Order: sequence, then C-alpha cells, then structure tokens
Amino acid sequence: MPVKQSLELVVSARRMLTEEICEFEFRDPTGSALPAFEAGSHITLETPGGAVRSYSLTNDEIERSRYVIAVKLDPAGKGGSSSMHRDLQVGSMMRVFEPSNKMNVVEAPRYLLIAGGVGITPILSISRKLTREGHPDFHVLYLTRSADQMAYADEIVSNCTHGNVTIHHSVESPDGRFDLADFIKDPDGTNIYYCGPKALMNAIYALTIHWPRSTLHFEDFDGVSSTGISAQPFNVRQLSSDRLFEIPSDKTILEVFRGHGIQPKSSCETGTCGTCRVALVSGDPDHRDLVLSESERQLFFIPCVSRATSDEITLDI
Amino acid sequence: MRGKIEQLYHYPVKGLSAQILNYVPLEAGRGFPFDRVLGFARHDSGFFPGIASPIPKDRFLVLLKEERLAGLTSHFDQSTAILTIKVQGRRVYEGKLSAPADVESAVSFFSTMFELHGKERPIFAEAGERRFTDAAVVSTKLMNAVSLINLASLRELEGRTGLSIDGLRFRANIYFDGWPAFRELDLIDSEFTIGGARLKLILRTRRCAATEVNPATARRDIPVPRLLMEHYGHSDLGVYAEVLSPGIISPGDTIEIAGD
Repeated sequence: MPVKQSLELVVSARRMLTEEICEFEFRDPTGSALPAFEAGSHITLETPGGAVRSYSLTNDEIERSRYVIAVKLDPAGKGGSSSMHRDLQVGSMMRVFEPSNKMNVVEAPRYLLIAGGVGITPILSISRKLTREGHPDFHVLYLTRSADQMAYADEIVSNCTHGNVTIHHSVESPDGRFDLADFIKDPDGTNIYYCGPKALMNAIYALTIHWPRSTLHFEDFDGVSSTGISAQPFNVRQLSSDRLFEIPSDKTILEVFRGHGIQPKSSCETGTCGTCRVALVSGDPDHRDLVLSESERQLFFIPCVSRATSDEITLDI
Repeated sequence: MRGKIEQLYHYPVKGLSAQILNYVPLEAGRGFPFDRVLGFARHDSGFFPGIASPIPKDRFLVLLKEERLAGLTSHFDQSTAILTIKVQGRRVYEGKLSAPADVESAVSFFSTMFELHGKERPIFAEAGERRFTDAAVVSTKLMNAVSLINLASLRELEGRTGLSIDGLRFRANIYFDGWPAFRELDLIDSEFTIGGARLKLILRTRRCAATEVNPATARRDIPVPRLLMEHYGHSDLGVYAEVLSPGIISPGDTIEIAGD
C-alpha cells in the first residue's frame, strides 16, 4: 500500500487568530512547490512534543507554495497542541506528511458547511473553493462559544458575499434560539460538510441519521472504531476464483464481499459465533475473533472481524 | 424461584422501534402478538408474499448491519396500519402500510437512507401467518418463541464490565427481575409460569452485533458479544421460551419456576 511521503518544511509565519488558536504557515525551505491538495484535506505531522497529529488545511487549494493550518491549544490534551504553540517559531523545521483528504468536495446542487470552533479550518478552505468557482448555492454555519473565540471571522464573511453565512455564539445568546434542526431536515441532494467538537459531530449524526451516507462528509481525527480497534488496508485473494479484493481500513472482509454481490455465510458479525469461519490458505492473519482456538487459528479464519498483517491473505471464502 | 415481570415489548416492524405493551394475551405455540410481522427485505432476499420458508435476518434491513436504524423513532398503529417515523422528534415519514402508495413512500424512505436504488430497492414484506424473527431460521417453534431478558444477568454483566448497558439493546419481548443472575441459562427445558400462562425455556439466546448499538445514540459503542465471550466464555444473554398454555400477562406478574 502507498505510504504517504513526508516533507521537511519550514514554519514561514505564525500568528494568533484568537487567544487559543494559532495559525502556522509551512513552506518548502527551497521555495519549491508543495504537493497539491484539494479543499478539505489535512496534513499529518509530528509535533515538537512527539505526538502525531493531523490538521486541516485552511488555505485555498490553488496555492502551491504553502500549507496553512490553525491549532487550538488544548490544555487538557496530551501535549501535542501545547508543544506546537510553545515551540514552533518562524524558522522551525517540521516533518510534514503530504496531504490526505476525507472531505473531498463532490458535485452537488447545494452545500451546507458546518463548523464548530476550530473545525472552521477545512470548512474555510472549502468555502474559498466554492466562492472562487462561483457555486450558486452554499451556506456556511459557523458555531463558536463566543465572538472572541471565532477564528477567521473576516475571511468567512468575505467569502460568503450572498448572505449565505450564519454565525452563532452559544455563550453570548443563552436564550437565543439556535436549532441545528432548522438547517438540517430531509435529504434533498444537499451535501453537508462538517467539522467540530464531538458534541456537534454527534448532533449532526443524529439529525442526518436518515440521510444517504454519500451526502455527508466529515473529518474525525480520532480514527478509532467504536470497538477501539484500528485497521490497515490489505488484500484478500479468493481461493476459488483467484480474484483479489481490496479491503480498506474502514470495512471488514465480509462487508467488501457483500459489496461485490457475494454473500458469505455469517451471523453475529462480531467474531463470537464461528458461522463465517473459512479456511486460511496463506498470508499473515491478524486474528481478532474470540471463537477459534490457537491450533484452529493455524487453519481457519473469521472474516467478519479478522484482518491481515501481510499485504495479502488467501482465504477459501 | 419467583421474580417479577418489569416490561413487555413487541416490535411490529423488524429492525424498528420497540413498542411497549401493558397487556399481552399469550397463545400456545405463538409468539408475542404482532411481533416482527412486517419488515423491509433486501431486494435479493427471496421474499414473496406467502413464502413458507424463513428468511435469514441479514436479508432484511436490520440493526445488525445498519446501526442507524436505532436513530429512527418509529411507531406502528395496528388499528390504522399507520407507521410513523421520527428523527430527533421531527416526523420524517407517515403512511398507511395497507395503502400501496404509502408503502412505496416507505420503501423510498429506506431506499434513500441506505442508498439502495433501482433494482436494489428494499421490498416491504408482510409475514402473514409467519413472523420475521431472527430465530425463524432454526425452526417454526423458535420462530414463534418469545424472548426474555433476566435483568439480574444484565446487571451482572454491567458490574463485570463497569459499563452501563441499556436492556433495549437486546430487543426482547419480556424483561423480568428477581431470579439469580444467569440462572435462566442453566434451566433450558424447564417449565415456568408467568401469571396464569405456562411456558418452557427452549434455547439460550446467542447475541449478535445488533447489541453493540447504543439505542440512544445509534452508534456501535459496546462490543457486547465479545464482552460476554471474554467474561463468561459464551455470548449468550437471555433465553427463548415457547408458550405451552395460554394466559394474559402484564408487568407486575410473577414469573416462577416451581421448586427451584
């Protein structure tokens, strides 16, 4: 699987956007163009404190000379953001992985962009793109606790020249009736892009529970599944057909096979009943079930939960 | 051994919300009234009206596969055949499932929600004399079994794991208390009474990934079957029972096994 390239970049500018949010600009020290990115992308970097963190790019995707991020100081965090604030000065070098994107802007008749707090970062880049491209119908909803905690206020307002922005501060209008449900009702082709604190993400998830998944785009940097198991992509070769199936990090083997119209036998979908058991032919398995014994694991495999540590495994599935 | 019935529920539409019952006439060999008698089957389920063979649960739109179903609050009114679905308190569907045009709208609702378009559109299924229970694939007896949860067993699991586990994750018909935790798993083939009805425990209920879904948030957040396996060496919670002789049961009724 392709490994993201890393770049040695220099901090070319930094400024406080609010008391807690610091903007950093990265450039190539030789002045070369940086790998291109699309609005909604993020870069991953190793903070001075050692923690690996991802940050959304706020600048316009057409800029090839710089990456701009905004980092909110999290006093309760594990030190990633505080080491950035404290130690990254103009001239500091940083190892930065080239951009990835989970929030690609797709064709849509209408966009609703929702930002909570520092979640404005990818939303700003997306709104810059939509404005530049003259998209006729998009609305930005920017929610922060107070006006002085609002980064990029001027940029957002200047991008939303058709009155297509709603700004709300929860602390300043405790009686103010703000209801997300006024903005999110029934699926109608609108694509929603959203980023913000957990509570906002959960509220939007709940309101869009009946919406098609392909119209919802969000970045959630936690990266861990509900059962706490992280995953890498790998391939499965089907013994009978010799076909190779790509298993992405966010799908199980059974989910991928079903997506191809194949219906392997299964029941619990959680690695406890053994119904989906298949023969393991080759490759290095990552057994995650609770039903096979150690000796059975030499020969068998539970595809509803298990994965692979090698690039490829062959199953009689 | 005497306990008490706490709550009774049925689930008219497979995969959709529990509906509370206060008064259930149990009939011999039959499941809870109007339980899992309607459902939305996948396009390739093999369902057709009058089908006599059971359909595996994954051929329906079910919580096992689609946790978002838990985020819909639905209510089916038997007397009017009206199904109402709400999201966060706002109505998103209402229709009479006896009217073809309303059925088409319901199918369209789920078709949009799960992006099952064209030939993949779900099919509204009515079970007729059968019911679309998970256990239907085992036998007719199991198809018509009632499902029970011993709340003491649930509390024991909560104690061992340090987690708060909503009993509604298990989508049972009968929730009771007052028996020792997990005692019911050792009493398969025993007869017992609820009020004036007589039943027999016939099978331990092996749990699936539907129980991972938090009914309040519609997120998979607790790996219940795996936790059961890790703590108890099996993934059973709750039991199925068949009704031997009829009676009307209600919350507050005594659930009793003689001589235990």
